[in-house]
Amino acid sequence: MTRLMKDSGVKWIGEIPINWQVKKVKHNFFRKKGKPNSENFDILTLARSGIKIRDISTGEGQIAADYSNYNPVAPGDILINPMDLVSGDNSNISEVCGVISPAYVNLQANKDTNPYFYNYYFKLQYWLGSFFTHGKGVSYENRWTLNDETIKNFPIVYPSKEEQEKIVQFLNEKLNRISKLIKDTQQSIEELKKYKETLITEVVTKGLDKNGEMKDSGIEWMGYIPVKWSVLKFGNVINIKSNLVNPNDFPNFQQVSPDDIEKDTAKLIKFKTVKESGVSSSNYYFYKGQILYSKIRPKLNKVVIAPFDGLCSADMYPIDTTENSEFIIYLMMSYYFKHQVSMITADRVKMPKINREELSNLIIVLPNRFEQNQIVSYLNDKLSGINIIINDKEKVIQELEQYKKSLIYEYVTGKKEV
Amino acid sequence: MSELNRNQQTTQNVQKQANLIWNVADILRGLYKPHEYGKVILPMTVIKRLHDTLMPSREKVWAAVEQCKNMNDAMQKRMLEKAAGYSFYNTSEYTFDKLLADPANIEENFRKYLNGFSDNMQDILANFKFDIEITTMAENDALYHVIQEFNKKDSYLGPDKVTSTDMGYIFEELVRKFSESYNEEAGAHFTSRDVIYLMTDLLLVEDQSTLTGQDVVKTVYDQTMGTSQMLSAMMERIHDFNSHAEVVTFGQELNPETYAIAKADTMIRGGNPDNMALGSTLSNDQFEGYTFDYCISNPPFGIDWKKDKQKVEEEHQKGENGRFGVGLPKISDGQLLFQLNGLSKLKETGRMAIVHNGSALFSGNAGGGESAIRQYVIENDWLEAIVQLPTDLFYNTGISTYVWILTKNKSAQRQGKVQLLDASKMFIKRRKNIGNKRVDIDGKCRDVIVQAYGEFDNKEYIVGDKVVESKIFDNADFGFTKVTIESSQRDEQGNIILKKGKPVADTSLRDTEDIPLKEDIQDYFEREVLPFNPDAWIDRSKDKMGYEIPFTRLFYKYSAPEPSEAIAERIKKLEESIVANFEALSGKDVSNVD
Repeated sequence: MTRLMKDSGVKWIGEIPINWQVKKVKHNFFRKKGKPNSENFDILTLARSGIKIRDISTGEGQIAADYSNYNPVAPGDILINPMDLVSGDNSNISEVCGVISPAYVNLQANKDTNPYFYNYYFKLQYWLGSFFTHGKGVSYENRWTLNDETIKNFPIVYPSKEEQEKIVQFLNEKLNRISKLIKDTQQSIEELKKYKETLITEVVTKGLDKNGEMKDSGIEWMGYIPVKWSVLKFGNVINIKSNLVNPNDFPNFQQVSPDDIEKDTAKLIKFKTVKESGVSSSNYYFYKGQILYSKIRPKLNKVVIAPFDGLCSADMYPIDTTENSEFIIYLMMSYYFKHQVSMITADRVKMPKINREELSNLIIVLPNRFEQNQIVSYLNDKLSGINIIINDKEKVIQELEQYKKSLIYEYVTGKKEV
Repeated sequence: MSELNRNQQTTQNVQKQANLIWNVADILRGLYKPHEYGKVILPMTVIKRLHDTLMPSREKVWAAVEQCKNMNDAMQKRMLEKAAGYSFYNTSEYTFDKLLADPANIEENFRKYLNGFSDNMQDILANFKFDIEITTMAENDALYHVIQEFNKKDSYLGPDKVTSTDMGYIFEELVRKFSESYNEEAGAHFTSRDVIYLMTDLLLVEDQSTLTGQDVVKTVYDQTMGTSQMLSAMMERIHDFNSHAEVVTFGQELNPETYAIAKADTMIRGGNPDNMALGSTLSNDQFEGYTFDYCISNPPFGIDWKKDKQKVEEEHQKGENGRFGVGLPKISDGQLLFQLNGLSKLKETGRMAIVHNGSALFSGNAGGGESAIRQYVIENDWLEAIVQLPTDLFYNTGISTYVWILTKNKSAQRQGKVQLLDASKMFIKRRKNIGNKRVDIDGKCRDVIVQAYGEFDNKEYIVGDKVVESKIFDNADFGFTKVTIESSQRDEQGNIILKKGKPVADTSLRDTEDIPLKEDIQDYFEREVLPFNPDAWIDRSKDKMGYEIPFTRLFYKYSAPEPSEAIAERIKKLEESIVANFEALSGKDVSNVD
């Protein structure tokens, strides 16, 4: 049997069960404002993951000059950040004692009120935008604030305390499960990414034929390689171009900077015309099919095959190769290549860079062109499969986050019954 | 001239002439920083315009000097203006040619030449602090070259070749170059053209009938005119409707340098420079008792009025006999004082457009000055519309801004109503930022906003991915009564304490409720208060009126989260796809390839 519902009269709450009430925050909460009552107190911070005790000895975060105006907090108190209404939920419930900056609003529940129920309710107000729309200020970005009076009079739903407790129990259990699922999925994405790197490295050093004849490469960290493969310097197969031009002469050309390339995936994520990006310092002219490689912070391994003729930042090298350029890209994404690069830049703390000579001197192993083509098509196929899985898993995480919010909405506003 | 023609003209002759003049900057390079070039170029342009304008009548002026030697100042001024044929004159014997013929004494002679100008021009030069620039240029051997540059044939600015309209545009272009060269600081005194045109069009769209016909005379006032760009834009737009209309502009400005630009601009356009006034509008009003057809302004917001405090408070004490009797805002932000000044100078048929930031919508408490000013405006039925503009529109700030349209005689359908328009999404992105300005309201966007305003309807106007939303409210929707709720004192046994048979209020339990004007106070009390506090009562003697306009809340669109079942269904599909793909992947292990 579906239960009887009524209009709550509040736009963003919608219908509520007939036996629920609409009240105001001030009817069920007391806004705590006080002074620390002893010398020994923990300084607390409000984070999305919970109320945390701050280790002030590490000096992390902002340190107030004086804690004497800090507000005491007890377990069960709900803390609301009234100044962060745009970026998402920023309220939480404390499990510990301590003091917190008076910038936060501290709400203590009365005896008819389960604070854990309202902890969910207040988070919901951030997600629905209802806290945001009650904010005041001159700029949404900065100091868009809920004032005390607005919080005091903010509408809340009120089921009986027993019902509040039942809903809390139900949601806690559900949400724990979902969080566990999200964590597992994240973990498996990480594993898949590692798997990709391992796969690439294996194939570009050992080839596809596991039973083929092998030989000692003569390089300690490389070990055995297929017998027909050669050991070379990177400079033997690539040619770093240096066609510097004034970007003002090419206003409508596409321009690429290190920021435009995703790390470790050989993907160009964005680009702009010279005019749009407003670059004025000299750039390299590159041709479609050349390899673009960021020489700054080379550990990020930003490398891509140019999809068009264009200009790139002087922080990048346009590279020509007589070999299969996709193979060269895979080679550059392999662990052994990145390992050599990180050895070179390891002690450069400021802005790690790799120069032409260093790049050209890296050791590589290379099969003939026919085998290169085979490897490229094998990896393309295999990696696209893995990428689809990673992509799907990332979507699953997003959907689970959304699922959490929907569940909270449905149960906290009584759309669904426990 | 239509905007299109004007733009064409600007891009051709005007821009060419302006660029030519701006080239003088080459001489100034090194001596001045780029944002200072204007300090020389603007006054020199005015001087040269006046020089060329006065050339044909100079001998008449000399003759008049002789004739009126013994007359009083006022008579002299009148005679000389008559001889010159303009509202300004120069009695000096020097010309640019003559100055250049004597390089050794260029500084001294140039000063003599400038001293020959009438007082209104002296005022402009003094406020430009041009004296200092002459010294700087002379000491660095730049003065001769600058004068030489301005005396080239191409730099001729006489009215026979350059009309006063064109001259206005050239000067405006130079002011724009000057202001935009500030970059970070650009626009402290400068509102971009797209915002100005939106304001002029909002002001004029409902007034077309009064602008047509013969003998149309309109007065326009800008209380914080900066370089007077809004005034000249109003003149231009009114002339678009009716080229025979006479437009008389008035303005006041606090900053001497921008005031000088404004006055020079008026002089150059053939207006009356004496209508341009210097000083603080709040504490030193130069237009007391005047009323105007249009008031257009972009006053400073979020700026304190400490310097004006004493005078403003004195005027507040005068009640209805002053501009600020209604109420005073907090000392930290004077924008609503400008709103009161503008209203006090509006004819009964007048219309006003003023830019505010968000705080004018809601600042202050019920019973406070800001709220009282909003109450005054709304209860008098003068607030016609508020348009929320896109962010990142102004040179000097990226925050949300609002154009308020106020009028003392609303059309029949608008009476008792306020129209709110959310135009925050009606903009195009700029290719290149200027200071904080990242977006423009181009002609198309402007037309949509003006149309939405003119149609006065609850409606969304969608053009591609851009939208303007218009909503109509009753005046009373914005008002509320803040009532004070008292609760009884109780003794230790929890019994209500009575004095003379009446309960005594426990001040520690005192609370307030904001009750919308449209609700009955007693009904509200019985519904919202009594159920939670059965022995409470309202102390009506403590009632306070409040007015605020919760713009963001009124336009926010709530959407409930998607049903959890629908999300769960999608997750299930994804998981199935992951399993299938993973099986396909493991089936093709490295070892299986030959």
